[in-house]
Amino acid sequence: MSMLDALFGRTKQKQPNLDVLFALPSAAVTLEEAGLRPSGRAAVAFKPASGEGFADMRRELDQLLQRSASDSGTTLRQEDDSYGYHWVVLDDPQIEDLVGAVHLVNASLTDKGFGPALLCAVFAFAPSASGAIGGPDPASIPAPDPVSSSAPATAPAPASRGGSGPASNSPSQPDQSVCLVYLYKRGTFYPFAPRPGERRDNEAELRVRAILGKQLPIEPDLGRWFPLWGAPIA
Amino acid sequence: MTQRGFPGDSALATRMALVIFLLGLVYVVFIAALIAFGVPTLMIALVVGGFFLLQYYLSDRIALFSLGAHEVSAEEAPMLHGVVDRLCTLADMKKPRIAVAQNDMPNAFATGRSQANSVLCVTTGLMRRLDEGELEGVLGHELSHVAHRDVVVMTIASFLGLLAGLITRSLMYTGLYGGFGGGRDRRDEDRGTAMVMAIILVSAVVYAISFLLTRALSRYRELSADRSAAILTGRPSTLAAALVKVTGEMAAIPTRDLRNAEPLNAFFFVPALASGFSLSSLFSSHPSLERRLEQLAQIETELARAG
Repeated sequence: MSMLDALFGRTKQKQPNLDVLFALPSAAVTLEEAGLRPSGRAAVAFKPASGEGFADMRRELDQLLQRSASDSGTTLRQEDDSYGYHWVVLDDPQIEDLVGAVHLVNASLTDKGFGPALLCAVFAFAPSASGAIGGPDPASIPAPDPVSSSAPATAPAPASRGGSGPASNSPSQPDQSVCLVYLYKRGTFYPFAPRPGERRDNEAELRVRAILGKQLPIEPDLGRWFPLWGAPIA
Repeated sequence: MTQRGFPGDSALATRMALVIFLLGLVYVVFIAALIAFGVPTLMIALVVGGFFLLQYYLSDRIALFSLGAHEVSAEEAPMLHGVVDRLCTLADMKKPRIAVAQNDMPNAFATGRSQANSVLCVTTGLMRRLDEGELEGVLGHELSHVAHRDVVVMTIASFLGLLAGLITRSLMYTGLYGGFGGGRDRRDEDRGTAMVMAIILVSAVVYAISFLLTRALSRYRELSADRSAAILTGRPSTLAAALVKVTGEMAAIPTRDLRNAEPLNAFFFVPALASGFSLSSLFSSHPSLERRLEQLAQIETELARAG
């Protein structure tokens, strides 16, 4: 906000940056070499505004998503979180398809002038430690309430270390899944590695930053790496 | 930058510009008058400037201390931090520190001279009474104050009034005890007394005008913050509901507590005034509830048309 805007108390809404998102698929390749593969799930969060304008946009977006989902084989569901944000959760094994579907949501909102309502997009990555976890395992994020935070049962079990030792540049906890969160307003990504009990694995996060630092714009201000507890990407 | 859907309020901006201009004008005229009268302006300015700097740099700590507020970590208040995290991400601003005051009066304030060292404080009474959506609206209002640098603007704006008030008071003292003129014969003394009277008069007038102007500026900035918060959260009516709820509760609180809180009013979400204490709208630091609700209703209709 410029000094003049501040002086007059004017609100300039921050428009989202949508282009940086397309750098993600190549970064996913780099992450895979480091032992983290895309778990096939992504989500977009935005803040629903009141009024018919926004409701109209939501209806159009729903139709658009259903149509494109049946084309690309992406499955989707939508839900609201406890903070009043709306999440579009997408499942597709192809990271390119996920990025495309996320972009569809972005474009629908910005076209109607609701770009400033976009909060973040999240892409989940799971450890690809061979043999330890069979099949695609979505990243699990512990919910904030104690009832459903008995998540360790659903969290991937620690990988056995027998035989093949972890590669030198892979995350320290082989069971740690990591989300890449895209901040629309800043055009940057940051890693978020949730552990049960609303704690985060900072070591894994900083490692991801080191791995991707040259490929993706990583948010330099650590104060903006906000935790997404209870985000519906589990 | 295109702003589809949310036209700015140009009328509000115009009025604010006028008030800022008038404040500046009064400032210049006052300083010129002081120099013309030969008052040791530099000395007075240094003393007041010292207080001003102190207030400017310590405003966050003073405000927190006087309310008995303490900073809370993300572990202590996860919901509060979660809401602020998300609002700051939406608005692309640096997250302020967060404090909670153990006080049953429902209120919130933001303070600090820059975005980097600002503090956002809510009372336990506010958190107890508002639901999450309403709390989000109030936090959005306070974050807008931070984004608009209202502490800096209002501190600078009220500086002149502070200076004029101090001069009036100190000269009344020295004038009363006849120490100011210092002339040797009768005519010099008369001229000195007349001079002192003139300065007191000018200072008093300046004080009155700048007081009214700062109050007007404060009301405009409150409306701006309401507007920004409504657009940021996308829910003007939720903020309106919070305003109604908080204002209703404020009137029901015993008078004594409220009087204690009055010096901090400039930074509050809703000013705590003793019940039955009816100031004319000219003197109040916050716009009337009706005016605020009216603006929020207007934004709601703008939202309905948007898209």
